[in-house]
Amino acid sequence: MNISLLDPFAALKEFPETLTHTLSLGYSVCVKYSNQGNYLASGLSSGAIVIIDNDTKSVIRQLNGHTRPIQSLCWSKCGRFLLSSSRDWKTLVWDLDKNEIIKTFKFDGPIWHSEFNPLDHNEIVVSLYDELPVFIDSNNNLHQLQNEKVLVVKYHANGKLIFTGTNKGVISIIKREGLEKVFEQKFTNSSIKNIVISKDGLKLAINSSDRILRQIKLPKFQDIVDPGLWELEIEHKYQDIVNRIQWNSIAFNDNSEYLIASAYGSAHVIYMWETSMGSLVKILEGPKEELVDIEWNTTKCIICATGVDSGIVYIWSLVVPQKWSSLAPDFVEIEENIDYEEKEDEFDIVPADELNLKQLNEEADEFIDVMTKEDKDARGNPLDSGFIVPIDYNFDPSYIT
Amino acid sequence: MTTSEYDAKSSVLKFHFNLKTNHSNHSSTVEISPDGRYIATSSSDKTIKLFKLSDGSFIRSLNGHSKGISSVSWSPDSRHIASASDDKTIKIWDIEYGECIKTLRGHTYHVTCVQFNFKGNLLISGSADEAIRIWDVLNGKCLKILSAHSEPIESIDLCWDGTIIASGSYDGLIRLFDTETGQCVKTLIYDKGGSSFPVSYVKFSPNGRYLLATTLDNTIRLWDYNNNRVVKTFQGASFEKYTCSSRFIPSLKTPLIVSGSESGEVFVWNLNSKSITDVIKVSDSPVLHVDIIGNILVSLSMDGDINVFKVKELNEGEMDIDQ
Repeated sequence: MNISLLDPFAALKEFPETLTHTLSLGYSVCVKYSNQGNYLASGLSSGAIVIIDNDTKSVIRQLNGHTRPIQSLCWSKCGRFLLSSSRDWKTLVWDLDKNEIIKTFKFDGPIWHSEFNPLDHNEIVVSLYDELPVFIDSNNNLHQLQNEKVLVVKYHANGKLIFTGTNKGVISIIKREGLEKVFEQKFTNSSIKNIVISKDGLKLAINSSDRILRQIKLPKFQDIVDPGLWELEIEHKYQDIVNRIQWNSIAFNDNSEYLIASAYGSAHVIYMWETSMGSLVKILEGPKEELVDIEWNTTKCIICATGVDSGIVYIWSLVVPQKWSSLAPDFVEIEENIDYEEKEDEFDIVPADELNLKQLNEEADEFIDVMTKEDKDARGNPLDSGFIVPIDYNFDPSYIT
Repeated sequence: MTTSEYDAKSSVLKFHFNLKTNHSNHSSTVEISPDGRYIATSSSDKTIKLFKLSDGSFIRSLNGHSKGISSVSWSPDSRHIASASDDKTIKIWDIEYGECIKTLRGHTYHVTCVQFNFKGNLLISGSADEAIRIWDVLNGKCLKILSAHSEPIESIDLCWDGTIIASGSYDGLIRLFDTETGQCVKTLIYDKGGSSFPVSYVKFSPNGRYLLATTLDNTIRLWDYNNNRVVKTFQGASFEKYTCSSRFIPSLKTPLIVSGSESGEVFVWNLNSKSITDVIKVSDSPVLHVDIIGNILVSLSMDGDINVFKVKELNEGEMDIDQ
């Protein structure tokens, strides 16, 4: 509700520009914001996962269940469940309400990535090293997702299609109903490292080891049912031609107008492209270390990234300057001097009783609705805070391993 | 006083039962837990007392402050209470074990008001040192100090999503702050007639778009804060010296306003017509605090009388007569 009261030029910027926080809360290797943006899950190299509260920027919960570094994290849509995969070859599902592990899946080898169905947290897809990818249904039965080995799996926002990428540069689309591969296209000759799909489901970005990011326009799957008519067309390719930088991680913003990427090696920066024209709009100056995992908190307009050397979580957020005019009710901020003409009755002395009576008459008939809540904030995001992680006031956050 | 006497002057509130806090000094606040099971009262006798809301039975008292307590707030899990005391500290209590689990120090004078946000991660406090503090409850750390008033702060409130803090101060100003940045985003003052009166209580409407403010000129005003104007004025009760809290009685058709009065009554107004629907004499001392959950309303007078009322459903017909 606060945004409408803030300076719109500062509060409604589309991306943050200032590094505002550096959080040293264990050695973080993987970060993920909840859908509502209230919590950041940070996977540590020790195997612990910490839940960082965005209001206080401190740890409110530590989840111990893995014994090796965290490989991937995924929040359920409501924000109550968290899916984690680790290099200890296990995938766990956490219930943050009861504070317990509700599902455990043990695999025979390393896990690349795991993800919830965005519409149903009982369904999970997992990509494995040197093994076929797995689909886990709501009864916890494991199915083979595809008869090829893949590096990445990604659910489309509609929850009906699953995208996979192989080390030969092939993107496949699998229908969740029946687990049938309905589409396949080769985009590059090198490995696909990650795929991201925008919230509206119309843009796909591929990060591959040939140092090029490909932005692909997706068809409207709900309108075009026949996979034979689907066309996946490359809209833009992004690369650093001079330095030939390898990209670590990529992310879209909320309305997919911007794509950000962290760079391998000594670049220490985050690149940001505007996705309609494909131009580089911003290089976010970072700390003095390489950034690995990046994440865009779309509701709160925050970008965060993990540092490779220190495991610190760096946070870029909007800085809203104090509006001096809000400190007094009759102050107005003006661009330049104006000649003020006083109103005819401005300095008239009117008895207080008369003024009060006038006020009472003015307000007489107006109907005031004190009940109906707005459902969207000034940025257009739903004003739904999602699941609230219960605070355990006896938890001691100073102990993080 | 018998049950029938209460009902005689009442069209909305139905007397349920009453009890005595038995504090050894003046009582200051009564707050119902979010799960509706308990009520907590605080007093200048340095203690907090817990009662069952269903039958008013006494559970326990919480001792630990070295001076009187002005305000208490329940955590969203209904298992903890924050208390603001004249000993400059805020204490967080575990009600199950009756223990103080944290003490927040930082204010340099009496802490007058305290409020949890709905997530339970932040605590907002206002003080006679003219500052508002935002606390990280888990770490017991002060995150921000907002110094924006020139007289003691008497009351604070948070809008339903916790992003705006409202404060009322004896300097006559109502200020709104952005919780995240701690910046002042709006200032309201009612100074028609040349002077303003101390603001003793502020409360956001259920949808957060309006702010109810009690000033010590015997008036409650409803502000449309986005447009800097007063949309309703409620008169009849008396507020000249003490902080008497007010509440909205939520209803889609006929929302009501309820407040205690220094004259020892509970007042109920129809929000839109501004007419008084109920005046219930409950005490000879000022009625300092009212709180409501569902259809249960609780009032507390300074000498320690708690009255529990049931709110009757207002139907269309009654509303017509009213207007």
